[in-house]
Amino acid sequence: MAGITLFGSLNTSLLGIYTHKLAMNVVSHNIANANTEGFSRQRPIIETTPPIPIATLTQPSLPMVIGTGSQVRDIQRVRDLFLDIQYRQVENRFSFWDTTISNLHFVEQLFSEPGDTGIRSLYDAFLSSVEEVITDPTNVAAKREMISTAEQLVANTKDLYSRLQQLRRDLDQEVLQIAERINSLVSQLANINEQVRISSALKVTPNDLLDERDRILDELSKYSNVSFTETSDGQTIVMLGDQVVLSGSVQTPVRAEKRPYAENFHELFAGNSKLTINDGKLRALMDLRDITIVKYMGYLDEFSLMLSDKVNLIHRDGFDSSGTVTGLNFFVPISAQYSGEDPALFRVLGSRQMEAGPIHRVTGLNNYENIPGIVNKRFVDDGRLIFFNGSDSFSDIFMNAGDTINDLITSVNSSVSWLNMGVGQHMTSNGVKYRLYMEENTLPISDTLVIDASGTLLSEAGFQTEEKAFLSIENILNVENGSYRLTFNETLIDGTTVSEAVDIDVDTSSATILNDVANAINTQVTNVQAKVIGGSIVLVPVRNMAFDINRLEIEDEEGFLTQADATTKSFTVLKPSETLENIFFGATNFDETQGFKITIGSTDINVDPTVDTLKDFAEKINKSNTGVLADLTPHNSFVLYSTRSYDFNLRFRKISGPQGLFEGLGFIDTNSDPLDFDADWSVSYDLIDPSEDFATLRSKLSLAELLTVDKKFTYEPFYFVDQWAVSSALSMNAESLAVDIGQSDANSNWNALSISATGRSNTKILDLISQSRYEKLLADGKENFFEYIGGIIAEMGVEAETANKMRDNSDVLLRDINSERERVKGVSLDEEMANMLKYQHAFDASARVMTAIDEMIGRVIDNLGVVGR
Amino acid sequence: MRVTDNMVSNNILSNIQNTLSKISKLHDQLSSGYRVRFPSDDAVVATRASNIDSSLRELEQYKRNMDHAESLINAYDSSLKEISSVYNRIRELLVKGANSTLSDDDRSAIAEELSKLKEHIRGIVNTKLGNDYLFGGYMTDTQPVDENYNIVITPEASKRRFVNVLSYKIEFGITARDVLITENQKSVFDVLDNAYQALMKGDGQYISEISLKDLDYLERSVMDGFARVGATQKMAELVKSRIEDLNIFLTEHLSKERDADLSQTITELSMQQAVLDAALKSAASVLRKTLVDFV
Repeated sequence: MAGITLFGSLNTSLLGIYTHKLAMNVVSHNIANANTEGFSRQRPIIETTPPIPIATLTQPSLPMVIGTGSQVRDIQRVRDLFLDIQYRQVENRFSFWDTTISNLHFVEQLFSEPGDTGIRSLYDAFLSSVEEVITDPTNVAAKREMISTAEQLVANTKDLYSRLQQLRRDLDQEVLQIAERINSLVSQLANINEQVRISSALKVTPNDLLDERDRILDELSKYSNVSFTETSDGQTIVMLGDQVVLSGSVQTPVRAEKRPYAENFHELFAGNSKLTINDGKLRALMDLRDITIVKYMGYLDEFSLMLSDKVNLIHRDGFDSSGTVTGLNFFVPISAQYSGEDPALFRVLGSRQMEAGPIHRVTGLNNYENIPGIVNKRFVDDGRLIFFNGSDSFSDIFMNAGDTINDLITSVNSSVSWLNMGVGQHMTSNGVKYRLYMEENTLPISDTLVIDASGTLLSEAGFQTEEKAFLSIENILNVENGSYRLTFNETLIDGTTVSEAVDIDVDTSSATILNDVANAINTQVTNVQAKVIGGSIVLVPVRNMAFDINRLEIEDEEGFLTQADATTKSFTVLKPSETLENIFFGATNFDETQGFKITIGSTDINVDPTVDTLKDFAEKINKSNTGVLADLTPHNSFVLYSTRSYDFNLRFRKISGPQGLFEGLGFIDTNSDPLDFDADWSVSYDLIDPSEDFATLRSKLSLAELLTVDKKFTYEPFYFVDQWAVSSALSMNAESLAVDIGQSDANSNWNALSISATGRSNTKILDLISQSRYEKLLADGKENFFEYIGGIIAEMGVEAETANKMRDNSDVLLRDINSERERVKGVSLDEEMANMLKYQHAFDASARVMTAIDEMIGRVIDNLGVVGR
Repeated sequence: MRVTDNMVSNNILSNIQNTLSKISKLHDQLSSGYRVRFPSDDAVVATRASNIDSSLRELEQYKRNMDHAESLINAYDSSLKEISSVYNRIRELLVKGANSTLSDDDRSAIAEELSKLKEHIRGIVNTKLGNDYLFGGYMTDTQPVDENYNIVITPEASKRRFVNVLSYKIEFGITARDVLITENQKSVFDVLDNAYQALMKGDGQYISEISLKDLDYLERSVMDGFARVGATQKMAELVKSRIEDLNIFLTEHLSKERDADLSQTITELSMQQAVLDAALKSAASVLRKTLVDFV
């Protein structure tokens, strides 16, 4: 055997030509698709054809292996699947944050903060206009201005709110469109799967189909987290979110179903299963629609609800400038609209107006570990207390430096008949402690007066004091002897005026002149009593004149007062503090020494009625962090609010405490007498029990005024802003704006029923509205109205800033990975050029070889064996 | 490492995009003057800016409140001055009237003037400013002193008005009771009536011993009023300058926080423009040639 034939070699070179022609084709395909999206460059895999072993003449036993040429075994696409997976994960993130930030940016533009056009500046403008009325209370234009700024605030908030809602609608539309797009993409994938299946049956690699498949998966990963697995026949199973949407050529379409409530936004399903998507644009859109924007709308809801109710409760307690009670709401109350379902109980307002009642007990030194600690305390200075029973009797107590509290107690109890002093227990948050107290015996303390002539004794004994002015006749000895007549013109607390005359005979030679004059006054006049203090005669108006010197005017024709250097002088007197033990005094089984507690949820709030006032009580509730806030109206009605965390529904938490307390606050009525607040304090009572239905609750809270609001749906705001409006009565008549808080008449049971106007320039009501900006009623009692909008801005800013940063980060990452992917799969024209030259040269060379062999064959055929021819 | 054409062009493009977005942001800052325009630019600064904005608006209102109060205080001041000059005249009259050598005619002329002055005081106290009785306390719709010289303002309404300024209230205003009731609880009109009677009776001793002393009380009550008005004016001055200071301080603070630093921004802008130029130039030279051009 003599080796391979020439024809064999011809074939070898032919294979070279074929191979490089094919390779050239791949090059041109690559160049043609240099800018095709998703295209990955292809590479011909050139291999040798099987060699032939041939025995040679020299070594017949060991045949040589002779190559037979080359062939393209396969055309491969160059791609790194690991990078694809990474790319899609980052693409998820990127489009999530990109969608988030662009929408958040829109939201912050809507809020237009910081700036002069947002709702914060309108709220400020509203407060300014309130101040404007305070400074000029009779100016109707200022009142109108106040109402119209309120209307602007409402209108702008509503506008902002509706724009946010519109944005949610747009987002929902986008969700729908994306669902459509996903379905179309998945159906393309199904198509590809079919073709891949055929290709793989034919054992060919469908490079371009696979590129298209990867491109579609890339796009899908923009919308949602997506994963896929390949079956043995090259088909894919695609999971979108947590559901399989494609298996082979079987597609499970994504369906958008309307929610059966509110705006009928769409939920996504794959087949019949709920589709949960964790990332990508869809997730971002749904988060914005259902959570983020809802949150900001919820903030506006809270702001409008709290502001309108707070302002209403203040405004309702006031008198308009004509002095008639209006009881008018400033804003139209936001309240439950839908019937059928139980509403949320937002606010409970007690019916009892706890002011101007009698003081039965006052607390002095308190919080002492034991009784001796109090009674053995010594006075530093000499002192004198003058007790006045409010009508006709004075009692003097003298204390010397070094005397003890015990001495004070003994002398008060022996010489003052209308009140007692003692030491007793009280229940603080640190357990039983001891206090010094004064309590009524025959007269309420508020009907009497305790004058501290020395000015230090009362405060040394721990009692609260205030300054009160009385008329003091300083130098009686300057008066010329003779008869004088004084006429006292008195304005009593019921508004009537009385004149009383007193004739005084002055005899300066008498040693008892001070007492003589005082006696003359005390015997002839009933509404003013005289008391000798030091060298002066002090004229004290009686209880009927509220001990108020301003209610007294004296006619003094002969100039008695002038000669006697009468002048108003300030004295230290006991200031009766309106502690809870006074309000609930004498209630059945009410024991002030034991304190009481109310329980909200599982939090106990302990109250010490001997030192805590209504305000302290409300503050304790507010500090308890229970989602229940307490507040007082201008005329001291007790209010309970629920907060945002509990969806403005008091019924989420159990509120229990003594039955007597809840009746005492005017919430419940145990005895069918709305004016009798005496229920049993030893009975524990559930004011609000989440397990009770609303009808039961409503009948239970028969005395209270309830404000109910609509319950919120999942993923929806409360829609309170939609209801917000300024009362039309006020819009039409600015004069009916309440300005004057009025004054409650003294009453015996701490329920001020009779309140009279004081005048149109008393602007206390407006001042309360203005000051309400500092009340921490928002964000679960942590923020006030003034800070609140700033808080929203901060939150929005941080959220958008984060989204921005995350977007930028994932953008960089995405670009890096894309670049990496491009590095692997991208077409490099330079490279293709080089390959082109390479293949071209090889092609040329193969052709040359073929020519050579052709020549060789020619030689063999034409010229061989013709020697000598 | 393999570098493909798309990589190069993508990179160049995204870098140019980056630079352009920086430039546009800087342009924004320059044209608006604000470094922070949206909360997302800088949440902390934006919130602070919003708070300061709000405080500035509040201050503006306080200033208006104070201005309003001040104009009322001036009205009180001039009324008190008038009352004071009336009292001076009364003193002159009484000193003259106390002279026992006076003829009956002279005395009744003095008494006549006295009763005119009494009427004048009522007129002053019943001064109306716009629609409001200046000395009416809460009852600005009621004439404080009626035809019979009774003070009709109730004790409940006899309270001073206030305005809110900064974190406190400034009480201002004087009520009819403040000026008309003396320290010894007598009415000015009673005192003048008594003096009138004494004049008519020719009781010189009464006038010099009682009436003139009573007049001391009257003047003291006016002085009290002046003191109160003066104190409020002083307070108003202080508060206004405080508001002014706060205003300047807050505006400065706000500007420091929120406003763009122009020189810095312009420098940055020109830097970014240089970067952009370079990027474009290099892009042009890199993207122009491939191997294609040479084979």
